[in-house]
Amino acid sequence: MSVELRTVADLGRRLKSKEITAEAATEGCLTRITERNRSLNAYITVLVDESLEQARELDQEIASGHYRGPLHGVPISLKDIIDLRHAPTTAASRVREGHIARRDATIVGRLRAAGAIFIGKTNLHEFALGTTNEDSAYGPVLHPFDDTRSPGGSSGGSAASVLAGMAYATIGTDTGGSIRIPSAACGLVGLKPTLGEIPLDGIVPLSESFDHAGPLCLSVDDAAILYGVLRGIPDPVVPTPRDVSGLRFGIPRPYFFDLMDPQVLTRFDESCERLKSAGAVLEDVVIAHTKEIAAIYVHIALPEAASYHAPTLESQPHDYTENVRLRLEMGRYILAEDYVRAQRGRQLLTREVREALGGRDGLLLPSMPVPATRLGAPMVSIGGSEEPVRNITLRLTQLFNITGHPAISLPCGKTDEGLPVGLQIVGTRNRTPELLEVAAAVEGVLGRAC
Amino acid sequence: MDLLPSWLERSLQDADRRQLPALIPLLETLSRSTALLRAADWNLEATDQAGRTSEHVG
Repeated sequence: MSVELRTVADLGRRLKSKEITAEAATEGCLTRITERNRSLNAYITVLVDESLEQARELDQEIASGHYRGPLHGVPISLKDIIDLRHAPTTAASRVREGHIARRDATIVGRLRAAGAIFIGKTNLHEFALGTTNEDSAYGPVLHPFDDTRSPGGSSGGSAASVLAGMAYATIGTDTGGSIRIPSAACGLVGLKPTLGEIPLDGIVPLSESFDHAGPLCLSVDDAAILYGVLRGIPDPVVPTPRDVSGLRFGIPRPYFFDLMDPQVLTRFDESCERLKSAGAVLEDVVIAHTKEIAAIYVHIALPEAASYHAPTLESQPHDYTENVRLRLEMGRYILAEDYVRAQRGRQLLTREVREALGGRDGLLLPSMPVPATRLGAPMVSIGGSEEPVRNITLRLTQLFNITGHPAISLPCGKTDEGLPVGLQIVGTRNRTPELLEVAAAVEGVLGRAC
Repeated sequence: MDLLPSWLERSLQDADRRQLPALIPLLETLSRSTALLRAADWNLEATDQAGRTSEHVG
């Protein structure tokens, strides 16, 4: 891939100064879609006429002196689980065949008011229930760097759209890691805000206890701009990076580092050394009940998902992809008493993460224990054993869906095969802006995706 | 008395009745996860001391 990637912030400046038009930026994305989408399969719906019409209108506004803010005229993609009026929301499933959204999701309305251009709806793991984007009624998404690998999921099409220059940024969702996993796999910045911070109406639900929406993009500044707009701030400012020498981080090694690809660990350790050289203080911390994380997650997420899908699992079971159908069916067997046990465990883990943060500026750990996984491989070799891809890819992210703490994935280098590695920073609940300031400081040390 | 084995047996029979054989290994894996959840030290039961509730939930 030889596309020169540009950030939202950079494009926004060039649009404001009229160095480039929104129409030209949009045409550039559409050209790259024509060139690469057939092979990558990142988009389910491409809005050629609609996006160009939007672009021309927004150019006229800039020409007449009406500038909405840093997203004015910027082409972005939307995970096809988010309603965009007059367009289908397929959730990558035949179950929703024929669906057309009557209105924008609340966050889409905010993006539209900020002047964003909607290039199209991206492919995903069906109903967001997976981490590889392989189970989709529209076929798998391929990693733009290596077409034998997954771009991660469930927001895989979103990640691929940005990495291949087919959009300047994208909005995804994250229930167990579905923004951070593809961000790590593709070398992007991916933000999962605090639970409940971003409205989810107009987004097909997976698990209401764990669902989040957020951006995948090329820089922390871009993540901050998009986060601000999603919060309802049409003209957000980029964060002022904190002074790295004053930052304190906790590294939760037990459990999280037990199963890890050696090259992922090396890139993480190198990143930590660079942060320490810049003056940051890094301390090991312990979260006590990590052994129960996966069990708590499954016993909440699956019955919540199953309750939403129960009618269509009965009426049109064969319209689901087989793997997704089976996992949803599994959720229907979980007893209410075990759901309640899991919710009590969730309260405990929330307190333990709060204690591990304990006045520090964040927790640091990799975003995913392995680089982008091979397509068609349900298992991955790690730590001398074979582990399910699903379990491994969720291992470092799902805790922060359980507890609702904000978390961001930044690129922190590549493996010898050129596959990106992601660093995850976890912040204090309801202080996502501070997390972005910390992330901007860390990005300043580690470097940007582009 | 551990009721999980009977839950698993009923679930496997139901999956078989519904002609979902692929569900069976998933239910077996789920039962191990459920056992872990039920064994967790934060769980309460009717014979517990009342004060125990404040120890684990913050």
